[in-house]
Amino acid sequence: MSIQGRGLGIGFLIVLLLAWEGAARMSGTRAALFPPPSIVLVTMSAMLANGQILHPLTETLYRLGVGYVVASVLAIGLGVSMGYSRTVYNLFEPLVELTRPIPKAALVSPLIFFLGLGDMMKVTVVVLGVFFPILINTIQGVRSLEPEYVQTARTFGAGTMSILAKIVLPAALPQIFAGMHIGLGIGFVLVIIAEMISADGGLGFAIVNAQRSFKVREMYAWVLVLAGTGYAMNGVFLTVRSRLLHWNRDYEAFEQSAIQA
Amino acid sequence: MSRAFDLPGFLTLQNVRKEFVVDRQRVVTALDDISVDVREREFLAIVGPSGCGKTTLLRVIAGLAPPTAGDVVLNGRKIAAPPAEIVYIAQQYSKSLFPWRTVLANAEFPLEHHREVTRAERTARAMQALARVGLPDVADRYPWQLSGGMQQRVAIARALVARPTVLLLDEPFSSVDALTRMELQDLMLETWAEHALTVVLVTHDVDEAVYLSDRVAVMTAQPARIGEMLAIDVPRPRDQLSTRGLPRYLELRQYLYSRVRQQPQRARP
Repeated sequence: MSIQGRGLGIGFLIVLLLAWEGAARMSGTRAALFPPPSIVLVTMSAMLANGQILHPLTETLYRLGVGYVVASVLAIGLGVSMGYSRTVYNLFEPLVELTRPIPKAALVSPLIFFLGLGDMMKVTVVVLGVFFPILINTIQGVRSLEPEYVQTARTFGAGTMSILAKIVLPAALPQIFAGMHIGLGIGFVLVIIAEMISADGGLGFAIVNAQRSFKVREMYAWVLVLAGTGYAMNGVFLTVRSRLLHWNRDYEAFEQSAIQA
Repeated sequence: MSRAFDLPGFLTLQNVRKEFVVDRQRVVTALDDISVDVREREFLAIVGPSGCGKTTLLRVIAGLAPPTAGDVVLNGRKIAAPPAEIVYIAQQYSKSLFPWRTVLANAEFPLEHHREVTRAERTARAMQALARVGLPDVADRYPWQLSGGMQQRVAIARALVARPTVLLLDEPFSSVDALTRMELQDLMLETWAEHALTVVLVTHDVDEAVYLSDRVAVMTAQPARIGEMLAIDVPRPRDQLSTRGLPRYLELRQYLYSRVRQQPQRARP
């Protein structure tokens, strides 16, 4: 995006913030429930300064991170096998198609029965939510593999394991990353929901807690922290992706063709 | 010509048949009944209309697709899996080079499956092959950064790294411009002579077949068989200008065109 194009969007954002500021300041008694952004920002800076944010933030990132990594490893492994082998695909396809449409947030309640309120439950919810978009996109990526790659590898004596690791996996990487991008967003939503329900720390619980104790300014500040966290995670993701996929000139196109699961 | 062409039984196809099962009702016969004797160090071209099964034939020879019936025999050994002596270069370089690897890493690929080759030796052999095809300076580039002709050179270099005795080429020069194609053709002739290779080239370009080959096999579409074997008695070394002007060259080209054109076209299965 050009500097000019970016400037337009940032300008619009500033206008909206000013409008919010003005509306909040003119709303009189309701200002308690609807604080102006300047006050929310002051509250957030104070929370950052006294270290109050750090602990819930690390808790949430830890749960999301563990769940995300576990889901990615499982989904890529199964996705490569399902995409490469018709038999494996036929074995798992009905199960996948049946479990995939379940809104994963609905699983928080049953999972509490089995896993309690702790980290294990939240990580599991994240794993379930992140798993499917990566799985489906990995399968698609492997399926769209050019047969010439495999033929070339075989003519040079590569065996099956070598072909999977050196040909199939890198060839499917653009699609895998498309799935992982979707998965990151879903995982973030789910970890917050799970934390809101289980009241056991993390950013999700911080918001609920602030709301229940009528710490309105803090509540908004936590929402801003979430926005910043999401923005930063996306930035890190895009950096990693462009490092690993620089050889692929059209990964943007892959991203758009990603399958939402 | 003093080449030893009369050594029989180097690479032999005996009544090779290849069928593809489309569904329960339909079976497509890609290769009907093919018998060819490819001689050692020969440059053999197979020409035929689109969809006549040329590519399938190469894949069967390469050991990439087992024949439904018949045998492919190399040096008295039946081919069941891709043999180390045979390298198959797929049709389009864009699908043949691995885009996630640098040029050097692409050229190193064939040696990664040989434990006895050290890392340093692997790199040295790959660099040597890249230099041989005139690309010593692009080792750390990625395929998309190269022109089509350069990519095809990388594919040739990578094949040479494997030190094959038989090279199978599937319309290797079809997607580059005319001048580049001539350069690549001459590079291929030099490579063939230098490394004492046996080359089987599949092409629909009759001109190219006559220019490069010792013999040209004409493949028919229905049934998918070798219809005719033509010896190209045009002297070597060949030259893009003088060879293409020889009366015998023009005569053979004319004749082959008429043979290929007579055939009905068949849609790809």
